[in-house]
Amino acid sequence: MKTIWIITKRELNSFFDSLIAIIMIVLFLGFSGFFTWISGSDIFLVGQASLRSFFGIAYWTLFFFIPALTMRMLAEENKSGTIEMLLTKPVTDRQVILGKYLATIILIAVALALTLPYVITVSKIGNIDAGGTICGYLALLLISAAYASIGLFTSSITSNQIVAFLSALFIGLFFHIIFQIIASGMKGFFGQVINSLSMTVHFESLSRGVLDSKDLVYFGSIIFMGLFLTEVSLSRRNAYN
Amino acid sequence: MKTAKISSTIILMTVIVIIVNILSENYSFRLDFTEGGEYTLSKATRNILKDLAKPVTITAYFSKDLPPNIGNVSGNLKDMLIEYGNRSNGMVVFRFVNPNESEGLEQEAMKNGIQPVMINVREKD
Repeated sequence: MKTIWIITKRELNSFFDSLIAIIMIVLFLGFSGFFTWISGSDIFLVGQASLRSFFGIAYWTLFFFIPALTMRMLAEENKSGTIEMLLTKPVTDRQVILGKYLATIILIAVALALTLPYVITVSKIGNIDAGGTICGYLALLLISAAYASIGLFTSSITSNQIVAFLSALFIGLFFHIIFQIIASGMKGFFGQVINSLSMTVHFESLSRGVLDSKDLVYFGSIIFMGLFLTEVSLSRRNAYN
Repeated sequence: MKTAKISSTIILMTVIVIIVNILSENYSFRLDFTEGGEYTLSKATRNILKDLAKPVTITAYFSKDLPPNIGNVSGNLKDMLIEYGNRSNGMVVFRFVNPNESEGLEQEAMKNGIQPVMINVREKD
Protein backbone atom coordinates (compact mmCIF):
# COMPACT_ATOMS: atom_id res chain seq x y z
CA MET A 1 0.00 0.00 0.00
CA LYS A 2 2.84 2.37 0.87
CA THR A 3 4.55 1.59 -2.43
CA ILE A 4 1.36 2.33 -4.34
CA TRP A 5 1.02 5.65 -2.56
CA ILE A 6 4.62 6.62 -3.40
CA ILE A 7 3.96 5.97 -7.11
CA THR A 8 0.67 7.86 -6.89
CA LYS A 9 2.36 10.89 -5.34
CA ARG A 10 5.07 10.83 -7.96
CA GLU A 11 2.49 10.72 -10.77
CA LEU A 12 0.46 13.51 -9.21
CA ASN A 13 3.60 15.63 -8.93
CA SER A 14 4.37 15.07 -12.57
CA PHE A 15 0.78 16.04 -13.47
CA PHE A 16 1.09 19.33 -11.65
CA ASP A 17 4.69 20.02 -12.70
CA SER A 18 3.90 19.68 -16.39
CA LEU A 19 0.76 21.84 -16.13
CA ILE A 20 -1.31 18.94 -17.53
CA ALA A 21 -3.43 18.90 -14.41
CA ILE A 22 -4.04 22.66 -14.43
CA ILE A 23 -4.94 22.70 -18.12
CA MET A 24 -7.23 19.72 -17.74
CA ILE A 25 -9.03 21.22 -14.72
CA VAL A 26 -9.39 24.64 -16.39
CA LEU A 27 -10.74 23.12 -19.60
CA PHE A 28 -13.08 20.81 -17.71
CA LEU A 29 -14.48 23.62 -15.58
CA GLY A 30 -14.66 25.93 -18.60
CA PHE A 31 -16.58 23.52 -20.80
CA SER A 32 -18.92 22.21 -18.13
CA GLY A 33 -19.48 25.68 -16.67
CA PHE A 34 -20.28 27.15 -20.07
CA PHE A 35 -22.84 24.50 -20.95
CA THR A 36 -24.28 24.24 -17.43
CA TRP A 37 -24.88 27.94 -16.86
CA ILE A 38 -24.64 29.92 -20.09
CA SER A 39 -25.50 27.97 -23.22
CA GLY A 40 -27.42 24.96 -24.46
CA SER A 41 -30.02 23.36 -22.21
CA ASP A 42 -28.59 25.09 -19.16
CA ILE A 43 -30.01 25.18 -15.65
CA PHE A 44 -31.96 28.41 -16.24
CA LEU A 45 -33.59 26.99 -19.35
CA VAL A 46 -34.56 23.77 -17.59
CA GLY A 47 -35.85 25.82 -14.68
CA GLN A 48 -35.38 23.09 -12.09
CA ALA A 49 -33.03 23.18 -9.12
CA SER A 50 -31.16 20.08 -10.19
CA LEU A 51 -27.69 19.44 -11.55
CA ARG A 52 -28.93 16.99 -14.19
CA SER A 53 -27.72 19.24 -17.02
CA PHE A 54 -24.26 19.46 -15.45
CA PHE A 55 -24.06 15.68 -15.11
CA GLY A 56 -25.04 15.30 -18.76
CA ILE A 57 -22.29 17.71 -19.87
CA ALA A 58 -19.62 16.32 -17.54
CA TYR A 59 -20.43 12.86 -18.86
CA TRP A 60 -19.16 14.03 -22.27
CA THR A 61 -16.25 16.24 -21.16
CA LEU A 62 -14.82 13.51 -18.92
CA PHE A 63 -15.11 11.04 -21.79
CA PHE A 64 -12.68 13.17 -23.83
CA PHE A 65 -10.36 14.30 -21.04
CA ILE A 66 -9.64 11.01 -19.31
CA PRO A 67 -7.87 9.36 -22.26
CA ALA A 68 -5.74 12.51 -22.49
CA LEU A 69 -4.69 12.01 -18.86
CA THR A 70 -3.99 8.31 -19.07
CA MET A 71 -2.36 8.22 -22.51
CA ARG A 72 1.13 9.09 -21.33
CA MET A 73 1.11 6.96 -18.17
CA LEU A 74 2.62 3.76 -19.54
CA ALA A 75 3.17 4.71 -23.19
CA GLU A 76 5.81 7.27 -22.25
CA GLU A 77 7.55 4.79 -19.98
CA ASN A 78 7.50 2.26 -22.80
CA LYS A 79 8.96 4.75 -25.26
CA SER A 80 11.75 6.14 -23.09
CA GLY A 81 12.53 2.69 -21.72
CA THR A 82 12.08 3.81 -18.11
CA ILE A 83 9.50 1.06 -17.71
CA GLU A 84 12.36 -1.42 -17.37
CA MET A 85 13.99 0.67 -14.67
CA LEU A 86 10.70 1.08 -12.85
CA LEU A 87 9.82 -2.60 -12.93
CA THR A 88 13.25 -3.81 -11.85
CA LYS A 89 12.79 -1.81 -8.67
CA PRO A 90 11.25 -3.80 -5.78
CA VAL A 91 7.71 -3.08 -6.94
CA THR A 92 5.26 -5.45 -8.56
CA ASP A 93 3.48 -4.70 -11.85
CA ARG A 94 0.24 -4.45 -9.95
CA GLN A 95 1.58 -1.78 -7.60
CA VAL A 96 2.79 0.32 -10.55
CA ILE A 97 -0.58 0.04 -12.29
CA LEU A 98 -2.63 0.76 -9.17
CA GLY A 99 -0.39 3.71 -8.28
CA LYS A 100 -0.80 5.31 -11.68
CA TYR A 101 -4.51 4.51 -11.74
CA LEU A 102 -5.06 6.04 -8.32
CA ALA A 103 -3.27 9.23 -9.42
CA THR A 104 -5.72 9.63 -12.32
CA ILE A 105 -8.72 9.05 -10.10
CA ILE A 106 -7.46 11.57 -7.54
CA LEU A 107 -6.94 14.21 -10.24
CA ILE A 108 -10.48 13.66 -11.56
CA ALA A 109 -11.87 13.74 -8.03
CA VAL A 110 -10.16 17.11 -7.53
CA ALA A 111 -11.68 18.41 -10.78
CA LEU A 112 -15.12 17.22 -9.68
CA ALA A 113 -14.69 18.65 -6.19
CA LEU A 114 -14.03 22.05 -7.78
CA THR A 115 -17.58 22.01 -9.15
CA LEU A 116 -18.96 22.09 -5.60
CA PRO A 117 -19.75 25.84 -6.03
CA TYR A 118 -22.35 24.69 -8.58
CA VAL A 119 -24.04 22.61 -5.90
CA ILE A 120 -23.94 25.49 -3.41
CA THR A 121 -25.31 27.94 -6.00
CA VAL A 122 -28.17 25.68 -7.05
CA SER A 123 -29.05 24.84 -3.46
CA LYS A 124 -29.32 28.59 -2.77
CA ILE A 125 -31.59 29.11 -5.78
CA GLY A 126 -33.97 26.31 -4.96
CA ASN A 127 -34.58 23.07 -3.16
CA ILE A 128 -31.95 20.65 -4.41
CA ASP A 129 -32.31 16.89 -4.13
CA ALA A 130 -29.32 15.96 -1.96
CA GLY A 131 -29.51 12.20 -2.51
CA GLY A 132 -29.82 12.55 -6.26
CA THR A 133 -26.90 14.98 -6.42
CA ILE A 134 -24.60 12.72 -4.40
CA CYS A 135 -25.56 9.78 -6.62
CA GLY A 136 -24.86 11.92 -9.68
CA TYR A 137 -21.35 12.70 -8.46
CA LEU A 138 -20.83 9.04 -7.62
CA ALA A 139 -21.93 8.13 -11.15
CA LEU A 140 -19.47 10.64 -12.65
CA LEU A 141 -16.66 9.24 -10.52
CA LEU A 142 -17.54 5.68 -11.54
CA ILE A 143 -17.60 6.41 -15.28
CA SER A 144 -14.29 8.24 -14.86
CA ALA A 145 -12.86 5.21 -13.11
CA ALA A 146 -14.12 2.97 -15.92
CA TYR A 147 -12.68 5.14 -18.70
CA ALA A 148 -9.43 5.58 -16.78
CA SER A 149 -8.96 1.82 -16.63
CA ILE A 150 -9.62 1.55 -20.37
CA GLY A 151 -7.18 4.41 -20.99
CA LEU A 152 -4.51 2.80 -18.83
CA PHE A 153 -4.91 -0.42 -20.78
CA THR A 154 -4.52 1.23 -24.20
CA SER A 155 -1.54 3.14 -22.82
CA SER A 156 0.11 -0.13 -21.83
CA ILE A 157 -0.14 -1.76 -25.26
CA THR A 158 1.71 0.90 -27.20
CA SER A 159 4.66 3.25 -26.91
CA ASN A 160 2.92 5.99 -28.86
CA GLN A 161 0.79 8.38 -26.83
CA ILE A 162 -1.43 9.40 -29.74
CA VAL A 163 -2.20 5.76 -30.49
CA ALA A 164 -3.03 5.22 -26.82
CA PHE A 165 -5.31 8.27 -26.79
CA LEU A 166 -7.17 7.36 -29.97
CA SER A 167 -7.64 3.69 -29.13
CA ALA A 168 -8.95 4.62 -25.67
CA LEU A 169 -11.46 6.95 -27.35
CA PHE A 170 -12.34 4.22 -29.84
CA ILE A 171 -13.02 1.60 -27.18
CA GLY A 172 -14.76 4.18 -25.00
CA LEU A 173 -17.02 5.26 -27.85
CA PHE A 174 -18.55 1.80 -27.97
CA PHE A 175 -19.57 1.96 -24.34
CA HIS A 176 -20.46 5.63 -24.58
CA ILE A 177 -22.94 5.66 -27.46
CA ILE A 178 -22.49 2.91 -30.03
CA PHE A 179 -23.96 0.06 -27.96
CA GLN A 180 -26.98 2.18 -27.17
CA ILE A 181 -27.50 3.10 -30.82
CA ILE A 182 -27.23 -0.53 -31.92
CA ALA A 183 -29.60 -1.65 -29.16
CA SER A 184 -32.26 0.92 -30.05
CA GLY A 185 -32.59 -0.72 -33.47
CA MET A 186 -32.82 -4.24 -32.10
CA LYS A 187 -35.52 -6.19 -30.38
CA GLY A 188 -35.82 -8.95 -27.83
CA PHE A 189 -33.08 -10.62 -25.84
CA PHE A 190 -30.02 -9.47 -27.81
CA GLY A 191 -31.24 -5.92 -27.72
CA GLN A 192 -31.42 -6.16 -23.93
CA VAL A 193 -27.92 -7.62 -23.67
CA ILE A 194 -26.34 -4.93 -25.84
CA ASN A 195 -28.38 -2.26 -24.12
CA SER A 196 -27.07 -3.36 -20.73
CA LEU A 197 -23.51 -3.06 -22.07
CA SER A 198 -24.05 0.64 -22.67
CA MET A 199 -22.45 2.98 -20.14
CA THR A 200 -25.12 5.63 -20.77
CA VAL A 201 -27.95 3.41 -19.56
CA HIS A 202 -26.17 2.65 -16.26
CA PHE A 203 -25.03 6.24 -15.87
CA GLU A 204 -28.56 7.59 -16.27
CA SER A 205 -30.05 5.06 -13.88
CA LEU A 206 -27.45 5.96 -11.24
CA SER A 207 -27.46 9.72 -11.78
CA ARG A 208 -31.22 10.02 -11.27
CA GLY A 209 -30.59 8.91 -7.67
CA VAL A 210 -31.23 5.17 -7.59
CA LEU A 211 -28.32 3.05 -6.41
CA ASP A 212 -28.77 -0.28 -8.14
CA SER A 213 -26.45 -3.21 -7.47
CA LYS A 214 -26.54 -4.02 -11.21
CA ASP A 215 -24.95 -0.69 -12.11
CA LEU A 216 -22.25 -1.04 -9.45
CA VAL A 217 -21.38 -4.53 -10.69
CA TYR A 218 -21.26 -3.22 -14.27
CA PHE A 219 -18.83 -0.40 -13.46
CA GLY A 220 -16.82 -2.72 -11.24
CA SER A 221 -16.49 -5.23 -14.07
CA ILE A 222 -15.22 -2.66 -16.56
CA ILE A 223 -12.71 -1.26 -14.06
CA PHE A 224 -11.56 -4.76 -13.15
CA MET A 225 -11.22 -5.91 -16.77
CA GLY A 226 -9.30 -2.75 -17.73
CA LEU A 227 -6.81 -3.09 -14.89
CA PHE A 228 -6.52 -6.85 -15.34
CA LEU A 229 -5.76 -6.52 -19.06
CA THR A 230 -3.22 -3.78 -18.28
CA GLU A 231 -1.42 -6.13 -15.91
CA VAL A 232 -1.50 -8.93 -18.49
CA SER A 233 -0.14 -6.63 -21.18
CA LEU A 234 2.69 -5.52 -18.87
CA SER A 235 3.53 -9.11 -17.97
CA ARG A 236 3.74 -9.92 -21.70
CA ARG A 237 7.36 -8.71 -21.71
CA ASN A 238 8.30 -11.92 -19.88
CA ALA A 239 6.30 -14.14 -22.23
CA TYR A 240 7.82 -16.96 -24.21
CA ASN A 241 6.18 -19.50 -26.48
CA MET B 1 4.64 -16.80 -18.30
CA LYS B 2 3.69 -18.82 -21.33
CA THR B 3 1.70 -17.09 -24.05
CA ALA B 4 -0.90 -19.87 -23.96
CA LYS B 5 -1.27 -19.39 -20.22
CA ILE B 6 -1.84 -15.65 -20.72
CA SER B 7 -4.66 -16.19 -23.19
CA SER B 8 -6.31 -18.84 -21.03
CA THR B 9 -6.18 -16.47 -18.03
CA ILE B 10 -7.82 -13.73 -20.09
CA ILE B 11 -10.60 -16.07 -21.25
CA LEU B 12 -11.16 -17.37 -17.73
CA MET B 13 -11.39 -13.87 -16.27
CA THR B 14 -13.78 -12.72 -19.01
CA VAL B 15 -16.06 -15.68 -18.36
CA ILE B 16 -16.03 -15.00 -14.60
CA VAL B 17 -16.90 -11.33 -15.15
CA ILE B 18 -19.76 -12.26 -17.51
CA ILE B 19 -21.13 -14.78 -15.00
CA VAL B 20 -20.97 -12.25 -12.17
CA ASN B 21 -22.87 -9.77 -14.35
CA ILE B 22 -25.57 -12.31 -15.22
CA LEU B 23 -25.93 -13.19 -11.53
CA SER B 24 -26.17 -9.51 -10.59
CA GLU B 25 -28.95 -9.13 -13.15
CA ASN B 26 -31.00 -11.77 -11.31
CA TYR B 27 -30.13 -10.92 -7.72
CA SER B 28 -30.19 -7.16 -7.63
CA PHE B 29 -31.22 -4.75 -4.93
CA ARG B 30 -32.00 -1.07 -5.23
CA LEU B 31 -31.54 1.81 -2.85
CA ASP B 32 -33.53 4.92 -3.62
CA PHE B 33 -31.70 8.10 -2.64
CA THR B 34 -34.01 10.62 -4.27
CA GLU B 35 -35.53 13.05 -1.82
CA GLY B 36 -39.14 12.26 -2.55
CA GLY B 37 -38.43 8.54 -2.89
CA GLU B 38 -39.60 8.75 -6.49
CA TYR B 39 -38.77 5.15 -7.20
CA THR B 40 -40.11 3.52 -4.02
CA LEU B 41 -43.66 2.80 -2.91
CA SER B 42 -45.12 5.46 -0.67
CA LYS B 43 -46.62 4.73 2.71
CA ALA B 44 -50.14 5.44 1.42
CA THR B 45 -49.67 2.88 -1.36
CA ARG B 46 -48.35 0.31 1.10
CA ASN B 47 -51.33 0.86 3.45
CA ILE B 48 -53.85 0.51 0.64
CA LEU B 49 -52.15 -2.67 -0.53
CA LYS B 50 -52.19 -4.12 2.99
CA ASP B 51 -55.90 -3.41 3.51
CA LEU B 52 -57.16 -4.85 0.25
CA ALA B 53 -60.19 -7.03 0.93
CA LYS B 54 -60.79 -8.44 -2.53
CA PRO B 55 -58.33 -9.60 -5.13
CA VAL B 56 -57.36 -6.98 -7.71
CA THR B 57 -56.37 -8.09 -11.18
CA ILE B 58 -54.18 -5.80 -13.24
CA THR B 59 -53.92 -6.51 -16.94
CA ALA B 60 -51.05 -4.91 -18.85
CA TYR B 61 -50.99 -4.91 -22.63
CA PHE B 62 -47.48 -4.97 -24.06
CA SER B 63 -46.34 -6.07 -27.47
CA LYS B 64 -43.43 -8.50 -27.48
CA ASP B 65 -40.01 -7.67 -28.91
CA LEU B 66 -40.06 -3.94 -28.33
CA PRO B 67 -36.81 -2.01 -28.75
CA PRO B 68 -34.98 -1.94 -25.39
CA ASN B 69 -35.52 1.74 -24.60
CA ILE B 70 -39.29 1.12 -24.65
CA GLY B 71 -39.12 -2.51 -23.54
CA ASN B 72 -37.49 -1.39 -20.27
CA VAL B 73 -40.79 0.24 -19.32
CA SER B 74 -42.45 -3.15 -19.26
CA GLY B 75 -39.59 -4.48 -17.09
CA ASN B 76 -39.94 -1.58 -14.66
CA LEU B 77 -43.70 -2.03 -14.52
CA LYS B 78 -43.29 -5.75 -13.90
CA ASP B 79 -40.86 -5.04 -11.02
CA MET B 80 -43.34 -2.63 -9.52
CA LEU B 81 -46.27 -5.03 -9.89
CA ILE B 82 -44.28 -7.85 -8.28
CA GLU B 83 -43.63 -5.55 -5.34
CA TYR B 84 -47.36 -4.70 -5.25
CA GLY B 85 -48.12 -8.41 -5.13
CA ASN B 86 -45.65 -9.04 -2.31
CA ARG B 87 -46.92 -6.16 -0.18
CA SER B 88 -50.58 -7.09 -0.63
CA ASN B 89 -50.19 -10.71 0.50
CA GLY B 90 -51.06 -11.93 -2.98
CA MET B 91 -54.21 -9.81 -3.33
CA VAL B 92 -52.84 -8.00 -6.37
CA VAL B 93 -52.65 -10.33 -9.32
CA PHE B 94 -51.26 -9.15 -12.62
CA ARG B 95 -50.96 -10.60 -16.06
CA PHE B 96 -49.05 -9.38 -19.09
CA VAL B 97 -50.90 -9.76 -22.38
CA ASN B 98 -49.39 -9.53 -25.82
CA PRO B 99 -52.18 -7.95 -27.90
CA ASN B 100 -50.49 -8.93 -31.15
CA GLU B 101 -51.07 -12.61 -30.51
CA SER B 102 -54.62 -12.76 -31.85
CA GLU B 103 -57.37 -10.58 -33.23
CA GLY B 104 -59.46 -11.25 -30.14
CA LEU B 105 -56.82 -9.96 -27.72
CA GLU B 106 -56.34 -6.88 -29.85
CA GLN B 107 -60.10 -6.25 -29.79
CA GLU B 108 -60.07 -6.75 -26.02
CA ALA B 109 -57.32 -4.20 -25.59
CA MET B 110 -59.15 -1.72 -27.80
CA LYS B 111 -62.34 -2.28 -25.80
CA ASN B 112 -60.44 -1.47 -22.60
CA GLY B 113 -59.32 1.82 -24.08
CA ILE B 114 -55.77 0.90 -25.11
CA GLN B 115 -54.93 2.39 -28.48
CA PRO B 116 -52.09 0.84 -30.47
CA VAL B 117 -49.01 3.05 -30.83
CA MET B 118 -46.85 2.97 -33.94
CA ILE B 119 -43.11 2.45 -33.33
CA ASN B 120 -40.54 2.52 -36.09
CA VAL B 121 -37.88 -0.16 -35.82
CA ARG B 122 -35.24 -0.52 -38.46
CA GLU B 123 -34.35 -4.17 -38.82
CA LYS B 124 -32.46 -5.05 -41.98
CA ASP B 125 -31.81 -2.54 -44.69
